[in-house]
Amino acid sequence: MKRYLSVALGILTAIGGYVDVGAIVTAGEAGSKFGFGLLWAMVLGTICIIFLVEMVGRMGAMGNKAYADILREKFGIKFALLPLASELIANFLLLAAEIGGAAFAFYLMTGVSFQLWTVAVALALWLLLWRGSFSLIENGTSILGLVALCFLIAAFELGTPWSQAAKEVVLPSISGSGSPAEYFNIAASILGAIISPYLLFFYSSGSEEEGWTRKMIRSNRIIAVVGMGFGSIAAISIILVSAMVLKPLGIQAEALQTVGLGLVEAFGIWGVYLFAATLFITCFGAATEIALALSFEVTQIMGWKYGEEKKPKNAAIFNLIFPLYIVGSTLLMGLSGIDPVQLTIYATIFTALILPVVVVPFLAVMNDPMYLRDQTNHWFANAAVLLIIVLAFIISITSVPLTIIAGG
Amino acid sequence: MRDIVDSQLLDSQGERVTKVAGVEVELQGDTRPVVRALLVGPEPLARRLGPRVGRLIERITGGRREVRLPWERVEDVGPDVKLNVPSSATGATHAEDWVRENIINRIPGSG
Repeated sequence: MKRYLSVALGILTAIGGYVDVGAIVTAGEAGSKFGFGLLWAMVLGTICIIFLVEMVGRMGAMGNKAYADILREKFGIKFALLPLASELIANFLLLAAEIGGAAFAFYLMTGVSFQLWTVAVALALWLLLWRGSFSLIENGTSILGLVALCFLIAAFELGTPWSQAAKEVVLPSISGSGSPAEYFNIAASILGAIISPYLLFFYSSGSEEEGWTRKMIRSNRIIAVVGMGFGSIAAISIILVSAMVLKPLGIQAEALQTVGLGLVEAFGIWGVYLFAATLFITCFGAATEIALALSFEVTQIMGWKYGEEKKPKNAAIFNLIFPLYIVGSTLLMGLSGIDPVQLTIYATIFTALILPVVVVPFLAVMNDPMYLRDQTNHWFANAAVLLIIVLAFIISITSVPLTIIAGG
Repeated sequence: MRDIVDSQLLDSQGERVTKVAGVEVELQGDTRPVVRALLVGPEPLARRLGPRVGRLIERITGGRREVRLPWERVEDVGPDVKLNVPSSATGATHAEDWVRENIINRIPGSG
């Protein structure tokens, strides 16, 4: 019984934790500009992240150290530095975007300055992480994130043509209000938003904090497939809703609040509240995970003490890193005047660009019997992940110059 | 020898200290080289990244952060290297100690 409960909790956590500012912004842009034409990117991204999450859970269940530790011990500092440095930069940008998303929700509800709210969000983030426990933070914010499923309900309310949408996953109709450059740009950003490498570092640290054993392997598989699968439905719904409400009106989701218009269409004034709640909860939750992932990454690769369960004085550097990043990210988001939507696009495309650098070493570990013993990867999983990662990289590297030429 | 570099160093209580940045090796005639000491700190680490990086870091720290752990301190070598002294006796916890004393302990709720 206890096992079923913990699997159920894992699934709910995965579903609620799926959506974040990256998913909201990229899905909103995709739907408003290209209708159902970019659903395939969301589906591919989901398949890839399901494989990756299952892998990182299996790595932890086989009693291994966290990924960043293994990265240095297996590859040495010289080769571990590149994936790590790329991750630190990507996470910094993404953290800023998430803080922006969370702050924007309060700006929406109160009209009070967005910049001020970024400071409030940063403070709340730091307080929660300073003394909170790992499970409470991860489970609490993710379960609340189930509110993102309001987009799924909206998709039903608005009468989504399900069979047409399903058809376009395989045969996208690339008719829309954007250029081909923009199409591939958004495709890259969707892939970068969904396939978030920080999850590798976060989950491997989490399975260590929670003391996973071999017995968790099957539960982990179920949680990865069902949890991430259903979580993606929330993100897909954002595309569907934006496609049906924004695209016909020619409204492009360039501003964050326009993504919420779909909910307003379905629910009236409640749509505003639901959107603000979804925005705040999912972005804040993701921010906690990214901030912790940053602390884990640095302390694990350097061999220093770490642990969210430890008292701060017993893991001093660990408890210094995430506040420093929170401050830095908040300064970037709050002071630079960058639009949160723009920053999210940059963060997600940058992520898509560095995916091979971070994921290929991970796959190498997953195929190493020294770490996974008899549970190394199936060739199909390797192939699927590699193909999707390479695709994401190719799309992002070609779309960046295209975008620059087209004028942004 | 290559395996020991970048391995995790644990103190006598099993607490993480740092990772091995380098080794000090003695060549004895035509027998295999013998590890005399483990090196930790930013300087040996930087040297492994390249001679220019090494010189740059050494100029910044003045070599004060490099710590030499004689092989006699090593209790056991496995996936991790276990030492026979507590971390406070290694001299290799400067960063952690400094952050704890000057920053963390000054904030309420640090435990």
